[in-house]
Amino acid sequence: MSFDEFLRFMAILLFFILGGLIIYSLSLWMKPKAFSPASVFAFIVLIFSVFGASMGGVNYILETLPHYGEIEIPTSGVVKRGDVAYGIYRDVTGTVEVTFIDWGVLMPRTTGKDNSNFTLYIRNEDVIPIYCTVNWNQTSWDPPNADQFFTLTWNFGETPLYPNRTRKATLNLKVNSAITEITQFSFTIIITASDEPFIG
Amino acid sequence: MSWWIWLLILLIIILLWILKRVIVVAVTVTVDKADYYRGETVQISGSVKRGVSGQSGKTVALAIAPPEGDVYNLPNVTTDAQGNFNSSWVVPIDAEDGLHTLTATSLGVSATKTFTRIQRR
Repeated sequence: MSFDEFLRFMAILLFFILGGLIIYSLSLWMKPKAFSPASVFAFIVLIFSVFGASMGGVNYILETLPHYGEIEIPTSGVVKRGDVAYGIYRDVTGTVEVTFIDWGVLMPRTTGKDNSNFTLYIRNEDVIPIYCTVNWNQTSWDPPNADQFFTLTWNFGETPLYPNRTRKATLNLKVNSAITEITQFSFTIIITASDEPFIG
Repeated sequence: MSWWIWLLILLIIILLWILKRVIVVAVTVTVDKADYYRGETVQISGSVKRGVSGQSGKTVALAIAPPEGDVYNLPNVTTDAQGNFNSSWVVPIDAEDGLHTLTATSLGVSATKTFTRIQRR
């Protein structure tokens, strides 16, 4: 049994104990007739409600609290570079600009979730075809040596994006499961556009 | 349960329904035909309403996504006094065959219509 599974078991047990106390208190307050259809139905409903609430509460707690094996990824800033006119948006119609990315939580050691995706839309707002590439600001990493455990890729491709066109691209951030001491980090993503293809 | 609790619940439900009708923004978009040849003009129309009231002077962003490849950006349009908008798009000569998706966004709300189909002439 992993530490996470033990925590989950203890949380469920505590919720059931709490639920039992609530049911007992309600039974004293309601004073139903013993084994009447209404009381039996109410008791069954309460049991399922407590069980459902327990599972929901456990999942909520384990999703929101950091724990062993998790890597909490704060939002990454997104910076545009290049001397061509283009935009980075969250939607296909280009109404919400992307200024940060929330990667969520990765758990490479406990659940095997070692990567996170983020979809954005690159919009050519110039009169010439453009090419785009993505990277991170090497000096923006905190802690400085964390970048060795991460890989950032995307599927924008190498073909040009023509004027008045938008291309959907998905960024993928992957963490190496060998990461140990680092549980929180931050960095800045740079998307660069140019009128010439990027080589290499 | 006391009757006044049921009355309170009913009043809350009615209030939420009224608020939804008054506050929620709804965007609609449509085109004049189901199928188009390359070179034909797609007539686009729609509306932006808050509840039952048309929203005038609102910017509407439009985009058409082909079945594969990059999305076509259309110029933004502005709603009229009744909250309606119109636009048009000429199907490119090199447009792909297949189902296209038109998206209209205004006031943070989007409407999507996947009904435009380009047939090979």
